[in-house]
Amino acid sequence: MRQTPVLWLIWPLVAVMAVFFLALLRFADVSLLHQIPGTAMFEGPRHLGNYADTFASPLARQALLDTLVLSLEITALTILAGYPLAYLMARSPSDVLRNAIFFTLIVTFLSGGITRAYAWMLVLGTTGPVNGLIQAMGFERVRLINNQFGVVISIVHFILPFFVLTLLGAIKNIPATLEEAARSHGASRWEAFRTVTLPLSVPGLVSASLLAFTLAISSFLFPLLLGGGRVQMFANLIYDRIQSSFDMPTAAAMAMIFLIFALIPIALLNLIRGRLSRRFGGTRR
Amino acid sequence: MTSPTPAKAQERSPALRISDLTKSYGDMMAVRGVSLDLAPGGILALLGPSGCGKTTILRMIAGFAEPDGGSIVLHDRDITNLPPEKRNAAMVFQSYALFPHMTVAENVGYGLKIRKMAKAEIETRVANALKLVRLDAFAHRYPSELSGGQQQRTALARAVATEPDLLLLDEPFGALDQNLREAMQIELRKLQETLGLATVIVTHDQQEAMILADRIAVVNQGRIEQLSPPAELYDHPRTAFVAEFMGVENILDADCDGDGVTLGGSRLPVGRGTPGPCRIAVRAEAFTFVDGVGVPGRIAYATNLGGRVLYEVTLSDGQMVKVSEQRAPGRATRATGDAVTLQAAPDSITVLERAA
Repeated sequence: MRQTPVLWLIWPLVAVMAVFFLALLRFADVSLLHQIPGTAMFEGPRHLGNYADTFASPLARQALLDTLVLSLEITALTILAGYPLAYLMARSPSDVLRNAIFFTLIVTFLSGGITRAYAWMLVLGTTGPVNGLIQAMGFERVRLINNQFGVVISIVHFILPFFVLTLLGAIKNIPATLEEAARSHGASRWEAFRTVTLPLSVPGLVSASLLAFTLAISSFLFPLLLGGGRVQMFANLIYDRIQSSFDMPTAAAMAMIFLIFALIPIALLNLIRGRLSRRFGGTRR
Repeated sequence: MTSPTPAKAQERSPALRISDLTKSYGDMMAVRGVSLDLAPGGILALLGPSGCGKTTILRMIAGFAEPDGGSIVLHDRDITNLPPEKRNAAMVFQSYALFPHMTVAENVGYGLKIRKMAKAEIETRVANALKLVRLDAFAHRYPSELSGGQQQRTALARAVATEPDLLLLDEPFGALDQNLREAMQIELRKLQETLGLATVIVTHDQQEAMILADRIAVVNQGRIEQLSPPAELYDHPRTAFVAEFMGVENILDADCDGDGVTLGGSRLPVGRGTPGPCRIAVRAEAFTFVDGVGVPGRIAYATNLGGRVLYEVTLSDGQMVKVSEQRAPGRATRATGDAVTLQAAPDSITVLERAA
């Protein structure tokens, strides 16, 4: 009797999920059709030609590889920048420091992508403050945008709040007394971190990295605005395909291939996380 | 074992000497001028209600809180400003703080591994420590697979495995149920005696302090109110706070005249106290009902506790006194309204110091 309302309540959610899933299925279906030349329309019969074409295209293969490598690099950089921030936020005794980090991240979180992309253009542009500083120190101006550097730094900035706030919860859940116990048994601050907090934060770190990787690989806006046409991530390639030739079926096939390749690292990380949570699963902390 | 002669005892410097320790958090004075000595191999309990500053004192000894003033000397080594890992004072936490990603053996060997001891040596020491707490069979379990008592023993083994100069225990039995707690307290006492480890234990439980410690410091509002052996603390609390905390049922207003105390208009023979109004502490079981001379009163209420009967007696001046009497077979419980006369042995009456 008591379960009835609970079961009933799940149906609206299922309906919403079904709409999204049906959209994806429709997309998969379109990927099997082919474009009517000169139009934005498409027709049957269904075949795998679009997939074969995509795999045959050196441009698409290169973009796929570049996107995966770049996303892994971005994830690695996010971990390097984000872990210390999350740790400081979780453990620093200074309210001021904790609030400053939190405020900065939330402001980043709330300002839109376009705003941030143009902000980076101003900051990193040839006449921007960074180049001004470089010049003042007696070096030549460097190109910091319209290349991979600008894209990477803007995406890391975009992902950082998601990563830090996810990891923050995980680190906060590790009792600070564990570090104190380590120190009272002879471990220095660093040793206590390395032997206790770091390994215990790995499951949370994997979750946060998973999120970072997912966000990185689906980047579209930042490569478009800060890549100067030199950084072709896969989402941009798909977009170009639709924009330049209205070839929806090929674009759909590329998207499906991309989805599968994006899922591989995610599945791997998830597998690691599953193993770790089995290892740490029974803990009462 | 013979006890050392007084001269010899004085020669031995204390294991731990704390002098005039102070600590404040903002406007709040958490610890105000605490000094104490701990003899080698002794157990000292810091006893007090929550928020009295006892935990802050312990955390300053451990190195997790920085004192504002005063010094902490461990075996003639000033450790006041050393980081926790350089003090060689191992702490057992209330939550045990076992490392959940390490086995029992890895937990116990943690301090040894950090000290870069040889693997074989670590194994031997871990095995010994586990044998000491009877956990040899559980070496390869994870903390989550242990009961509360086993977790407690693991934490204890981890602390003693490093052979620390000082063992610090923060409410170590707080999370255990009553039966287990008593068993563990006795076990800890034996372990501590075997190893001869100087130990400081923080607790809010006076019975626990009585069982474990050879000296108890009662802490109130950041100060030590009394530092005495357990029996003396129990029999002769110096202040009303200590008396109440040690569970003395009667703290009464009386008049002292140098060689006696007047309570409810009648004199009781007590050879202490400066003349004037004073407060006395008397346990409920110290009062007896007598036929002769004594303090007159009337039974206001009787509660049968099984082996004893607890009476509430109203004195002529209106004060309420609790009296506990052994229940003898065949003797009827006194009825409400009965007139009685109370007497107490001079030894059992403590004249309290006037509040500072």
